[in-house]
Amino acid sequence: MTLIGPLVLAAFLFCVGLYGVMARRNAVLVLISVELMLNAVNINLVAFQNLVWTGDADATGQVFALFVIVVAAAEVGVGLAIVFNMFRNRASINIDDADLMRW
Amino acid sequence: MEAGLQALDYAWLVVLLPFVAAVVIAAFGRLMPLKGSEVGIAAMAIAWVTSLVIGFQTFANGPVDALEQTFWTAPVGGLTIEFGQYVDGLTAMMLVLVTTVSLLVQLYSREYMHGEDRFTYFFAMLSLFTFSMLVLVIAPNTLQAIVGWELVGVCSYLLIGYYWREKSNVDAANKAFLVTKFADIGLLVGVIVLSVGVSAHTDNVFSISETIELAMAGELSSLTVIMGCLFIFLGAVGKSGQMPLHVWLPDAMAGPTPVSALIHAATMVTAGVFFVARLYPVFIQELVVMNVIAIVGVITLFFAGFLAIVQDDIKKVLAYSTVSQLGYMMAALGVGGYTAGIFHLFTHGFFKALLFLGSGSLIHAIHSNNMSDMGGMRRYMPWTFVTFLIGSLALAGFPLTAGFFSKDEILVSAQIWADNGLAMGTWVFWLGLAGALVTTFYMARSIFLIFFGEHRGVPARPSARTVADIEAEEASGVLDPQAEGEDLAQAAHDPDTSPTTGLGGHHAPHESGWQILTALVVLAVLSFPVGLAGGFLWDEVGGSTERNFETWTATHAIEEATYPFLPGADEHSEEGGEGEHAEEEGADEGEAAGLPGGPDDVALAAGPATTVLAAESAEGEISNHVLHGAPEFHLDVFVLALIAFLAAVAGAWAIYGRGHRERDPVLHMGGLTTVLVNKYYLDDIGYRGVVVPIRDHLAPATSWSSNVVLDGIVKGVGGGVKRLANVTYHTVDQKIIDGGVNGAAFSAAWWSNKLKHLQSGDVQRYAGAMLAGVIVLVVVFAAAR
Amino acid sequence: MLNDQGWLLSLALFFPLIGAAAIVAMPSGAEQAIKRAGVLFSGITLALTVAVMVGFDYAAAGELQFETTVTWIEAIGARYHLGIDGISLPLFALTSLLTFLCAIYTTKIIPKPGKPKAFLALMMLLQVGMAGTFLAFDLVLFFVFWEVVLVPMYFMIGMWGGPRREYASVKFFLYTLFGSVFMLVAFLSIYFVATDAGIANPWDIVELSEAAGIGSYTFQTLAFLGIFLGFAIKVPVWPFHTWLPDAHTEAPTVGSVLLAGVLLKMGTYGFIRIALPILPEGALRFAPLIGVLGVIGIIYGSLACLAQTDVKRLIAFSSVGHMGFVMLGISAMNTTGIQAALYGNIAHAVVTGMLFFLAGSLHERYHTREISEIGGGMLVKMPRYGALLVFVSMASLGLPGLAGFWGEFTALWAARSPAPALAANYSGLYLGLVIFGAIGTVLTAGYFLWLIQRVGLGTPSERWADEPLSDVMTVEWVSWLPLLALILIMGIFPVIIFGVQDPAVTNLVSFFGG
Repeated sequence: MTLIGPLVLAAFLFCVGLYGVMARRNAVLVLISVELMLNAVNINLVAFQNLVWTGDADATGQVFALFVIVVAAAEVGVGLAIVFNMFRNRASINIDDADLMRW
Repeated sequence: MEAGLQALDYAWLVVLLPFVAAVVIAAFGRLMPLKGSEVGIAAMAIAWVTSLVIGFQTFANGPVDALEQTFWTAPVGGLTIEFGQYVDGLTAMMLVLVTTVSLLVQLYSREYMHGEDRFTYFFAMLSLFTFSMLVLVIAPNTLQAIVGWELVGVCSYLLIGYYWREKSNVDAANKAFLVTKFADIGLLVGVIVLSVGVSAHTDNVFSISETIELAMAGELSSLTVIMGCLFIFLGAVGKSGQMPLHVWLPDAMAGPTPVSALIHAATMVTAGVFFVARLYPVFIQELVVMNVIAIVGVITLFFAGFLAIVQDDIKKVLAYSTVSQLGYMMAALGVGGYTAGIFHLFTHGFFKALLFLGSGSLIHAIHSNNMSDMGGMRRYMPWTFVTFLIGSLALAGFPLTAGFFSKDEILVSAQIWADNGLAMGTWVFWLGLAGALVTTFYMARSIFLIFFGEHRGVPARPSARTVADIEAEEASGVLDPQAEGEDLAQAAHDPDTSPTTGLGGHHAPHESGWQILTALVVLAVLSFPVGLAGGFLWDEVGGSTERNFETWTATHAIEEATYPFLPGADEHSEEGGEGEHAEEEGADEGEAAGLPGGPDDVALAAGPATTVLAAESAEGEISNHVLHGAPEFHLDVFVLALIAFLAAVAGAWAIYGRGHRERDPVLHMGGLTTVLVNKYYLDDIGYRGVVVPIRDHLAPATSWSSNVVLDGIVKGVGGGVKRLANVTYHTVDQKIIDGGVNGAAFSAAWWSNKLKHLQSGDVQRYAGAMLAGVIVLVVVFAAAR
Repeated sequence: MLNDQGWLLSLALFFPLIGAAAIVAMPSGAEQAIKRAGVLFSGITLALTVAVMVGFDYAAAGELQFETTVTWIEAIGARYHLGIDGISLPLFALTSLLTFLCAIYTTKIIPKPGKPKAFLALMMLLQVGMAGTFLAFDLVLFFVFWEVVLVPMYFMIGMWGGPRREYASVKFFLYTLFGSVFMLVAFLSIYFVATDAGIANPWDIVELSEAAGIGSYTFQTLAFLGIFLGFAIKVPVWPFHTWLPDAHTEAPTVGSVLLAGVLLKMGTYGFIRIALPILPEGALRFAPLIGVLGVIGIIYGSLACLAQTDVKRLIAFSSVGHMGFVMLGISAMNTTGIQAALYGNIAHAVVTGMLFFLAGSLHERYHTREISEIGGGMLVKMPRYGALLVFVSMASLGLPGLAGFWGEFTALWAARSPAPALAANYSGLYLGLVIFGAIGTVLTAGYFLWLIQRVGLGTPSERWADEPLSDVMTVEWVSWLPLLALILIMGIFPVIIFGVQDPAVTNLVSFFGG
């Protein structure tokens, strides 16, 4: 198996996620896009572990991917809680409405 | 010699007593029966007696070794602050003068200031004023002298501004303080320059005796001496009212009259002359310094006299007269007349105090300073008249009065100086003679205006206190009963025969009470013997050889001092010193051996020790010894001075003796030109030729230059500084310097205001910015590879 | 020997912190109790200070006494090095005394908005910072105390100050901090150079002084420049003085007293204790400049005073002039000059502190400080108060016999005979400084006389003629009398300060060979 396949897939996923983060107005969709970007990284981590550093007995790539999954889960938990509160206060989850942190 | 001089050890007591008195009066004076005045007078009386003992002991023992004691010291790095006492003949002379005048002024003030608001305060300040002057007088070092000097200044400020509710009085006080303070720059810098020069040789840098020793040994560089002396002299110019810094002195008349007497006679104005005399052996090291002193002195004595002629305010006449007399003292010091200068200081102290107190007695009686409000006062106030007349005669130099001896000595000193080939002597001699004429003239004018002719009316003001007033006060228990009784008695005995006392509640002028008169009489009596002290030799006082003012005030340094700039200096000085010494010894021996005629011969020779030397100079031999210039009786000078005196009195009599009775006093007050058109003077041809130019042109011109030009410069400097201050503050400080500080802060604020828009709150824009940043970094690193 | 007991000095230094904690713990409603506690705690501190003064060995005033040396921050080698010598002792005593008097004054007169609890707690904190600056002999420790002072004074001005208090407090804080930054950089560079030079404790002021000039000439110049900025702003030296009038004008009375009485002295103390001995070559290079700036300050401050309309601002500008004399003394770099500077320091603290007390009480009565609005006649309305104003003004204008004179005169004297290295090159310049300094004394007299005339003398204007104005109150007498007595005693017996300082100054000057 060659490295090129997973890398292309990961790059595609990352770009999709980046687009989502930059362009969507719906806060939930932005969160999902962030997840996409994180998972693209995961694919890279696993692919490099299996195809390049095969001799690494510690399986660092996989372990790192697990960390990222945990962090992503936590992040989504906090993020959704914020979105939820935002919806309760403003009846909107459009991120353009959330601009209080400005000058 | 030493055995009999224990009293000198207690000179500090003379200084301390007035200080203690001032503190006690300030603290408890209000509670005392006589409002604190008894404390001041008692303390001053003890101080006076002590001074007299010191004075007598130093006088009797001739030139004594100075008693120098240090009470405490403070090390300050390279210099040492010391306080102590330094008692020699000069100090003793000043102690006697200051305490005598101060005691009499205090006694006088008991009556003069009676019923004033701040009677107690006034007495505390008088004591403090005296204390300050005495601190200067007994100073063993220049630093202590500065302390006394400055304290004198501030006391004068507080006393001149005694009636501080009136702005003009406060202005006068400020002027006095600031003009003298300006001169004090000179004192401060001069003392620093001298003491730093001394510090190369000894640790006791301010010590007067060591400074003198070093200067006489030629250890101090010429530059140090010239700079130090001229700066110190600047201080003396301010304090002693020399031109052009005399402007504060006439204004200082705003203070109560006893204060004027104290300032003008004993304290304050004499400080400058005294200090120059104290450091005299240093001053004589450089001819430049001597010439500057002589020039300033002679200008002052000559021009200030004219100002006195045109005054109507009696106190101003006396003020300008003081300026003029101080000019005499300075001029004398400038032409080597050490003894003459301080002798004049001594005699002038007594008769000027007398004149001021006399004028105060007049003012007290008629509540006006103006001579045009007086006239004929000799009938109402005979005691005041007689004493004032004696004071005037002394000031004018009438033979056998104090001023006669001292002024003649100054002229003789100038003559000797001229004989030594120094031109300043000639100037001082002739201008001094002319000044004497002027002095006599204005004093005669004052006498005629005040005491002769008709009384020109009490100004339509109620007398300070009527019988009814006093009774009312007694009922309210404000004042002490004794003094009230006196006033009551006086008020009751007022002569109702005065031509102008037609209106109810007004009084004719009446003679002052016993306290004022005591002061006047004592001073009047003193105006004779103080002159004799200098004029005649006293044999066998204290069982020793002849004593006079010269031997009294001559310190050892002065005896040894020589003028280095005179030719043929060294050998002559040694000869002279030895000769004199030998002569003294001879006299001592002669006396010890009981040889008759020894001392008497000396006395008959009219000043033996120095006559020889005066004769030497007359023969063309030049002496560079300071005391060789000591004054003797010279017939030619006497005759010249007497002619000047008589001419001036005659002139004044011709003008004022008979004339003013027939004229409207107001017209007379309005301007002296009215005198011109008066027919009464037309037949006096000399009057037109001499008096008019002097009185109507030269004198007013001098007055104008004093009041407009010189005073204008003072005011101009003050105004200019104010303007400069405004510019400094408003433009330089607030705009430029503070603007720079604020500008830094404001520019930071401006930039942050612009940049804050970057923080839009739009998370996606932040993400975009991050992405852009990543791309830029990638491109950069890629390119770097 | 008592003077071996370092704990006593530390106790005296930090006791106010205990006081501050106790005051904070009290209920804020009990204002009277809090004020009494303030007097009590500052009184105990003063008593401890007196104990230090009693135990102090005046014969050995040149050496550090009550010394404590404890390792503090091991990583950088900073130590808790505390001690006291003849230079520090008068300043330390002054700090305790002034704080005590301020606490007494505060019992009756406290500025708006009240809150004595916070006010007194801050004052205690301020006291620790001020006193610590004079006792620390480790550069890091010194810097910490130096900066500690800023905070309480910032709040004092910012909360209890006048109408422009925010502006003034921020300006005070930032300006001083600006200088401190340069000072800190200089301290760090000294540390590194001293380490290279093999000094065992490179933060230690004593060891650095004894090394007598470390590093190259360039290093000394640059390091001195940095330290100069830090201290010169605090003094303040012209032209770094502009924070001072604003801070003084807006600060509450007690704040002004402490500001003039102690804070300004920290700057000159720093010059004498740190800048001169550690960087002698740099100091020699800058000495003429310091002298010139000092004399400019004298003339300039006096001129500015003449243009003032606000009493307090006038007194603030007078500080610029008086500190100019202190800087002139320092610039001479000899024992006389250092003595003069230290004496001038203390005299200015006592006299100007007293003047600020008077200005504050004047404001309490007239509710204005504008000279034209007061308009004279104070001696009629309040004779005792007016007399005090005259007395203290006379002391401030340098009347001999009162405290102000000796510092000024000795500074002028010292400037005529500066250190040999300076005398060789700048003799003429220093003579000019003496003359202009002397002229400054006349200007000083001028504005004080003018002030007295416009405020004290004359008759009261209609506005105040019938107004009942109370003369000096008991609490004012109590808090002022010690200062008035000091003015007189220091004037008559200057030896009480000069004598204590002499061995220490001689010792100090030996480091830079003056």
